[in-house]
Amino acid sequence: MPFLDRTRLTATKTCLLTLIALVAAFHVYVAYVMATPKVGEAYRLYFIERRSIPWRTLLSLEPYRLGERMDFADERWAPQLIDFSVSEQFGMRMANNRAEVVLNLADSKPRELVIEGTAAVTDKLPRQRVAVSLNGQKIGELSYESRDIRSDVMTIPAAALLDDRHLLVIEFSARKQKPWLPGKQHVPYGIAALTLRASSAPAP
Amino acid sequence: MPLPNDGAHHWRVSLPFVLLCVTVSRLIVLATAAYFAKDGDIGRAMCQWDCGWYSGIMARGYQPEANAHPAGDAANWAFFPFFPYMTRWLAALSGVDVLLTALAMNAVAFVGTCAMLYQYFLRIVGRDSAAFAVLLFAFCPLSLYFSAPYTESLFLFSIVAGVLLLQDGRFLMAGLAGAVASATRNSGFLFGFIYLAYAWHAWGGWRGMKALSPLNLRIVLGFLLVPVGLELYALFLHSLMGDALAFSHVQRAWGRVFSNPVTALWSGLAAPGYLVRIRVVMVLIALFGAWKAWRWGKRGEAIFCALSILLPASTGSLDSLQRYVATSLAFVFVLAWIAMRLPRARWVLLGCFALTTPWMVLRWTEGWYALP
Repeated sequence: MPFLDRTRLTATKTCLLTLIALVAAFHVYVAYVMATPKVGEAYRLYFIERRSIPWRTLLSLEPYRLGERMDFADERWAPQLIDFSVSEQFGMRMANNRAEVVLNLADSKPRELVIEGTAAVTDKLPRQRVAVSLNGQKIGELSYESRDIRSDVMTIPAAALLDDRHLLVIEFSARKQKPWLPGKQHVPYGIAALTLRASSAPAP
Repeated sequence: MPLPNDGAHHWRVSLPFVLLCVTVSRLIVLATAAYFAKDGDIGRAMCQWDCGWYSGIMARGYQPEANAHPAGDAANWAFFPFFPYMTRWLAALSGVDVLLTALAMNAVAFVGTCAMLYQYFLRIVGRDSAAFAVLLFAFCPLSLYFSAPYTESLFLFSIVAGVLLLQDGRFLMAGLAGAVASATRNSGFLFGFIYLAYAWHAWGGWRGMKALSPLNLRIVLGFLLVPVGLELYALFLHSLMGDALAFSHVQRAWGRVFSNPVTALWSGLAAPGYLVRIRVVMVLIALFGAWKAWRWGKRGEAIFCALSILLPASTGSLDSLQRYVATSLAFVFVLAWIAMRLPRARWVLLGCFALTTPWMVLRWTEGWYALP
């Protein structure tokens, strides 16, 4: 019977199209779920953003109160200084062209960052430039032309703190430049930091 | 050289022979493990390396947080659920120990896989070469992984079953087989490439694709089913610990980061020690198998073979690559080519394999570091 055949065909098509729509909607939902993980900050930093801070360190960070002076030579902060060298007379230099500091904020969000430090400036490398990022967003650049120790104040844009994060990752990236030092792929050192302070008000 | 295409006639004739030989190969592996097992516990003897993760899932399910490895960053999320949960349910039903259940299930799945591989290669290289290729595969040292409590056996079973279903034009069932593969291993979704190649063949090009026929709708639905296994696992992980992609993110605990696979293979060749080089050579042999698959008109399978090997190689680590080679189908294509083109060498190879495999099983039960 042609009519029954046509009806059966239409019913089969409708059924298959409905199933296709359902499975496609399921794919869209799963893609949304994959794109919006509901995890803690430590997990996000370590597993998703793949920051170089060790997992155990992230889980046991010393709380940082705004305005507190973070002395890089103080052993208390040592686990939170990632890819910095051991303490030297001029501070702690970056072990490579990239280093990080993690702060576990105990209270409200900071408005500015004060970095006290110097840089390895030589005759062959008369200038060092170090980009500073906060949670992946660039907030400024430090430029050194002498070995003098100085303080730089950086305003933290609100956009860098939009989400409800308590872990701040301050990233220092030294610009690669020529001439390269013999035996090294990139110019190391960048900044040699002494202290760092994040505060909600201008420095006293 | 024209390839034979009269498989259906010989299938019934040789199937019992193939099944017998493959069963003997599994008995050799298990008997060797039983002989060298401490206290005669064959389940424990075969449970090495990643099996610890699987047996943990069988016993306690998935971890809500990462706390394993010295760095405390590892968790069992990297291990897909189909194999451990299937084992757990079968063990609960049968009342047999989970590890013994896993060994039995994998052995049965491997025999089934070999029977299907015979049928598949019958249409490509003919009866004699197909039978020999399956024999070589069943007795090769890599077949160890199809007896251990690992995912390899169920994974290859679902892939080969899917390919045969595609050949028969049963696209919905093939899609379900793909869903099982994607719930078994992270590379299971690559079955979609094989699926697309057969779908393209069924459509006969762009023109056939446009028609809104029931066949076309089944093809589309079957294709959409392939990643469902992986997606269900992702949803489970999201409900457990909040990250649907945790199976990928946790790879960091094993030092895996995405990189150029060619660079990884090249540095493997230059690395000290012969074990890494052997892995690289195996990858090159498997890529040759992928090329042979392409030449034999199996385009989807060729892409699957190549990606199944290059994807793990692109994680910057060559560890466990031999297991990816074993399950990539490419290795069986190489064996089929040897069986067809090198009639004398295949006997020598079979002898070498038959002698080497028990030694490999012994080393496996000792926990040799080269084998995870």
